[in-house]
Amino acid sequence: MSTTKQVDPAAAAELFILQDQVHEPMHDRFLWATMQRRDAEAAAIPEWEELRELASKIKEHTLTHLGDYLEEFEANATKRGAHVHWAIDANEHNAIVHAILADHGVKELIKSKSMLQEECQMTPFLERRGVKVIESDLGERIQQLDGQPPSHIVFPAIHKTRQDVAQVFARTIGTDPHNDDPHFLTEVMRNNARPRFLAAGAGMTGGNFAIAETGTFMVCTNEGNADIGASVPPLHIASIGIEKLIPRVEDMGVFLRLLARSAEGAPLTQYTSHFTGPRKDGELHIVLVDNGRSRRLGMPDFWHSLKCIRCGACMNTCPVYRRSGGLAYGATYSGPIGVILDPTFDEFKYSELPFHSTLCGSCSDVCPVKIDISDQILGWRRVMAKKGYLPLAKRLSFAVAGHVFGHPEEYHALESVAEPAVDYAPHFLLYDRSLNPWGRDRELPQLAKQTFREWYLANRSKHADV
Amino acid sequence: VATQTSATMQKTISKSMRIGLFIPCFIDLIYPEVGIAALELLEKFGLNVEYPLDQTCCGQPMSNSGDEVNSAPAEHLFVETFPWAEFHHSVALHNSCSSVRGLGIAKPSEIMGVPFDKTADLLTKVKGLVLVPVDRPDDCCGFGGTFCVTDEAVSARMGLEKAHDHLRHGAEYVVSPDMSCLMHQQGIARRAGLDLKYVHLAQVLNGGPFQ
Repeated sequence: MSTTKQVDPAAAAELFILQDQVHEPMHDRFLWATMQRRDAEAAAIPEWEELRELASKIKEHTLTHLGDYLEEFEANATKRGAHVHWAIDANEHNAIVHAILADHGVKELIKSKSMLQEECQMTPFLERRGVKVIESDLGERIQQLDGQPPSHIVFPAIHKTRQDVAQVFARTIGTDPHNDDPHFLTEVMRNNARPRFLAAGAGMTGGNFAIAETGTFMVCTNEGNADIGASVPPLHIASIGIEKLIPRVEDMGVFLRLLARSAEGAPLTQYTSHFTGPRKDGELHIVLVDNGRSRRLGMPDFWHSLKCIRCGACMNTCPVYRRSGGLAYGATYSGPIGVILDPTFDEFKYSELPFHSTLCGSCSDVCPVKIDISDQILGWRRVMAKKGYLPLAKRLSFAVAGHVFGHPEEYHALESVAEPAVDYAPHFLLYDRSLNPWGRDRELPQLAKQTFREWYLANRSKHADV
Repeated sequence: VATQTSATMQKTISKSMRIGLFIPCFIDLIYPEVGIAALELLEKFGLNVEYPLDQTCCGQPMSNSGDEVNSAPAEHLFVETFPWAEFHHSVALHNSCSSVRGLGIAKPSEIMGVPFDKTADLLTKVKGLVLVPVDRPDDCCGFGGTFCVTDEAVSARMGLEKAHDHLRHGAEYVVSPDMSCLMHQQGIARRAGLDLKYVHLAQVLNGGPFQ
């Protein structure tokens, strides 16, 4: 068990909602609009559901033959002149990256967004060792300047308004805090980032897909920042999770049709770059990272989460995520996919996350690789219940409820006292925010004068003598 | 999907078949008129319906919180013992997440294919009833079982937006096949002073009782 404190997503989400009348409604409306674009794009493809099924099957096949495909990828990437490294965990990944940078005397690094590098906490690791790390994705850079992690895996600063961004830029770059024109802000970022691309000794990317057959990996972005980072500095390092493997180039046709449509309701990302070996006079390093993925692959109820292609559709469709903001999850991955991934890193710290869901099931239906996200959320609740991590109040009342609901005579005896109890309970007890959260924003339902059971016994003659 | 297909294929129910009616504990205690409507509706079709008296709760508060141990007694009991209308109002339909995505009574918006909605089909057969379109028909209302109290702020915000969506489109009534969603939405609407009334599908189809 971790010694770290449990994260409390419900309390953090409440702060996000109550901070003002602007942030939560904006966040919800933007992501809802993204979902509507996604629905329109998906509906325009007659074989959409077939594509999802194919993508799911390809991923299942690859994951169940992962060792073979990883070795095939390594052999082909090496043949093309890339250096392939294996990292068992986050520390080893960070150490490998640092050693490569040290070998080349690199003091400044420009990187595109990579959830894996977030997961490994790579930036603080490198900065403690004297390497300056600059994010080149606009959203990631905003978050870096503000000292926050990304709140969404595709839209890292989506919880911020443009006024917030103007404030961050004013504070960190020195621009006009009242100029929140998006074109102005984008131009500020562009002018701020350009010299950093030229100064950097290395460029880092992640990888959306790694193709075993050719040793190619693909990076999908909308800003082209990964491409400049991989093309201007002489050294390119890519961090790729071992679950990113797919067998063949032709499989890409399935995933590329699903990825951007699911992520943002666009047919494709603006840039879909294939990297096969280093460019002329350049050097390419690929770090293949496990960091708990092999262990996850061995979990019968949860290994399907490894099919994830990090599109973020489950976050956009999630009614709870839209009202919470990603930072409320207190973890690298937020939203439904975070709820099922984060506990694999630390069951205790993230034990409350599976309860931050209504189990509405929309995430499972929207997932382009058909991960049974909603079922896994319930699965994680079972794990937390077995481990004794259920919130205390829930645990106590369920122990009583479990017994009473199993014994009709005790249940019906209690039922007869429930109505008077509610009638006579003092108002503060029923509407106090901590004692009865139901009553904070809702009126209590009124108990009926006659229960269904009583009505049934009185109105259906054959039971009249019961 | 399997549930949906088998339900669709079952065209008729034999009159000789005995049907056990399960009444959830909160329907029994708070909304008995929903139970009465459901029973009378089935009886109007000449079906042989009984209400087994040894029933308590379905175990949902425990089971969907992951507590299988404490949900088992109620579930065990369940397994052992269980085997008309004018409505001159504008109605917003709320199909619950469990009925849409769990039981397949309507096409979820995320899944591509031919749209269908069995609840709406039933409601369109009711004289005088006008179904109003809403912006987010199958977005969760935030009830979620114990979620509504353990995640109160998010749940309440979801419920309030749901009520405003219904109100904005001129609904007088919200009708659902799931009374638990409505219990939550009704509490929200009453607190916010919104003029919306909540009734179960069975009450509308049976022509009452409404209180």
